[in-house]
Amino acid sequence: MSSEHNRETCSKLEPFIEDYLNGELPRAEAERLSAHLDACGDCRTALDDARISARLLSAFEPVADPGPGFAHMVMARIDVAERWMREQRSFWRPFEALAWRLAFTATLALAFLFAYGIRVSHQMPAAEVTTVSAQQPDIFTVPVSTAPANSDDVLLAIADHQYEP
Amino acid sequence: MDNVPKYVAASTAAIAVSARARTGKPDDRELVMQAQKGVSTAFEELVRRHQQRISAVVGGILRRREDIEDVAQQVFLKAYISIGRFDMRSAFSTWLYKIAVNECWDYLRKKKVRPLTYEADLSEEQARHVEQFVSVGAEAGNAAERAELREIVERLLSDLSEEDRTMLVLKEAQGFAVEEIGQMLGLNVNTVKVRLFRARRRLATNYRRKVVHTTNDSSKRGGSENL
Repeated sequence: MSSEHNRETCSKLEPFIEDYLNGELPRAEAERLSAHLDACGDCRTALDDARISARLLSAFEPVADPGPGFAHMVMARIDVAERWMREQRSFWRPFEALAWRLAFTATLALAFLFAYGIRVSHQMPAAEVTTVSAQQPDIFTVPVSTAPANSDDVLLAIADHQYEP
Repeated sequence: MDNVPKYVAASTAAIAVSARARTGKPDDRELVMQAQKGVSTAFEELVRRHQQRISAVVGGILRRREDIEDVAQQVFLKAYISIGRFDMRSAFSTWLYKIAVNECWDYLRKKKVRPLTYEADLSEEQARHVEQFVSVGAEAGNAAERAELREIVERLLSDLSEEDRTMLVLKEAQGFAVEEIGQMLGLNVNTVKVRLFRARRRLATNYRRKVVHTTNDSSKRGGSENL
């Protein structure tokens, strides 16, 4: 129970160790942490670890000021970038204007067609459904006075009817 | 400047005027306002003021020294392009730091720089060299020795996440405050403190395992050979 309690206390103190190392911990809290460090071996090791890592990381030298030429280089790059953007804009400007004109014309045409379509559909009367009965001449209607005796008589009667002057 | 709320612009102008009255020099906010109106000399002055800190951020994240200047210039170019969208709700430096961090991550991603992995153990000589540096406080001598030391520390840092490594280097080597690191990486101050604490423990554990262990082994071997 006590070691569990201790672990909980240690994890709560983790962020304070950072301030303790930087000398930024208020006095009352620094005293409380010191008292804890006297009693807690784990936290003492953690403090040692922090010192070791600070020493190891001092191998990386701080990056020096790049010097007065740096700002000139930046401004030169900005100048190049701005010129390039201006050139791009002036190259595409005629195409852009043409595209806008085309889009405008297409929109007008579409609007006209749409309006015309609506007008025509309003003017047209509703189509009536009518039944047309047309008299079809029947070429097979042959005036036969007497009833044919056989199929040859039928064919002869048709032929006579066709070539009747 | 168009998309900056009027009340922010008005308070910013008031702050800038009072700062100028105090110091006689235009402060960052005033220069930003001028740069937003297209005054390039104002932006050049901002570059001069922040070039060292931005180079330090870039140097803390990128490992190759020769990339630092190029990426730092790119950071200022991006800032110039998007300065119209800067609404002055944060300090100009904080805004620049964020651009710098994003630019570095992009650079690492584009170049496909992978975290360094080291298969081989440290040699006895390397281990002794580092141990002397840490425990005795010996200084690394010439440039070659310093470069070797940096390479060994990179090895010890290699199993940390990229973000934890960056935090440690920015804090310990480049001298950034915890608050600044939090703003750069978009993290709460307490989170940065806890993550720094744990990253330090991990680095020290690696040091004990890879350096102290090696030197102890070699001294034991040396002792038994003498017997």
